[in-house]
Amino acid sequence: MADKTDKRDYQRELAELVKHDAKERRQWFFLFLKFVLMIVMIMAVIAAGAVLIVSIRNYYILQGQTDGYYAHAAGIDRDMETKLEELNDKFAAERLKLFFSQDEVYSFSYNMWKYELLVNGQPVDKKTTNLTIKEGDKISIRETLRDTLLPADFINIGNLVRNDKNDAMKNHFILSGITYYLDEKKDGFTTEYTVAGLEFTKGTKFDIMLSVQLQERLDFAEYQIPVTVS
Amino acid sequence: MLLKLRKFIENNKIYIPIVGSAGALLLALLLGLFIAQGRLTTVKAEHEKSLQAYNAAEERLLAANMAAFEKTLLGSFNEDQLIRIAKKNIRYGISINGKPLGKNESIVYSRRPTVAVLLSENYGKESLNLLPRNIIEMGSIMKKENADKLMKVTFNEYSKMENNEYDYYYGKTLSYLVSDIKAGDIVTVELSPELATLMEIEDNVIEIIYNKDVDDDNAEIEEGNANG
Repeated sequence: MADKTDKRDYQRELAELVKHDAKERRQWFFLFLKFVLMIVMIMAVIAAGAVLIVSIRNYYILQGQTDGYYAHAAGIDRDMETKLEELNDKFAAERLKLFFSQDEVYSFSYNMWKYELLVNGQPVDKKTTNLTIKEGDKISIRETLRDTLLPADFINIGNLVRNDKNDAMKNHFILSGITYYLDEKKDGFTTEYTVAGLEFTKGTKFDIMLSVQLQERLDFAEYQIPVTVS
Repeated sequence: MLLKLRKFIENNKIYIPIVGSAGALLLALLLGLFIAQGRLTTVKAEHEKSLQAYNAAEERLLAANMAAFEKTLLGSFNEDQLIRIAKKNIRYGISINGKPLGKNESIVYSRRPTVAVLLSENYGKESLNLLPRNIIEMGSIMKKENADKLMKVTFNEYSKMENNEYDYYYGKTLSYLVSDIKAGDIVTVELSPELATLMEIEDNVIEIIYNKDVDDDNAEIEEGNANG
């Protein structure tokens, strides 16, 4: 009798255990689903956030580029209205420098420039070895460029100073022993450098000293020309 | 560890606010993303328009610069000087039966009874960016009437030769097609020394031998590829 009771108890306990086990499993399964849901939600938030940040960043980059392009296009239009000639010269100079060597540019543009020594606007003969001037006379050097469409950057290579910004006429045309300065007057394709800052008075003597380059351009026999004011 | 996690998840007071707020945040982010994508589409279209405006402005400037440059060139240099400038900006080449001739190559084998020699001048986009087309074309030499001056071709009397000129906008090609050649025949071409210099070819006399049994597959390339 007692055995039978034990067996029934045992079977009931066993059934309860099985029931409990199934319940436990179900709970774990739901917990797992909840966990997965939480993780998925968090991942989705991170992914959406990242995509949003990238989108915003792209928006600002594209906006910046758009503004830049419009500004550049407007700048080109403005330049074409205000300084097209300058841009044309720059364009031509860049290309011409590609087509010619520096020496070719020099020999081509050398002959475009003409130099003359003048007294009161009249050219001095190139055979002159002694110069006599009068009181109040004006001595000057005239630099003339042949009328040309070629850009300044190209053509200036052939001038006296070879387009060197640090060089100037005053280094090539010197009056020794007196104090003066060179007054520069530009008119179209001609520039005149006139001795100024002093009055030539009777009896004054000084020398005109020409650089080798200027002597060659003037085609003068001497680089030193004594001057007397009479 | 697992139990701690279980406790945490089982505690709805913590779990629900976390998942709820994540959901709300996700909704907000998706809405933001939707708006951002809309704006991005608009800005992309505007970006494309601005790029077109930029390119159009650049092209206008280039056209104006080029027109002025052409005037400057024509007004400053004589014809000989302009031709010299133009030639500096043209690439000249030669190909035989579709194969570009090597710098030191003076014997070429042909597997066919025809020999096609193509002389070409090429002024690609790069040259057209440097010089106005009218000036570049002053350096053009590949013309049918120049055929004899540019290259002398010697072949047997039973063979025939035909010259043709092709203009393909970025250059011109002059062809010399010799046909009816018998096995063992030699076709000799002699480039003018000036042209050989322009093409940077050392030997200006090239012999083309028709030999049926040549193994070199490269010797037979379709003529259509000859422009390269």
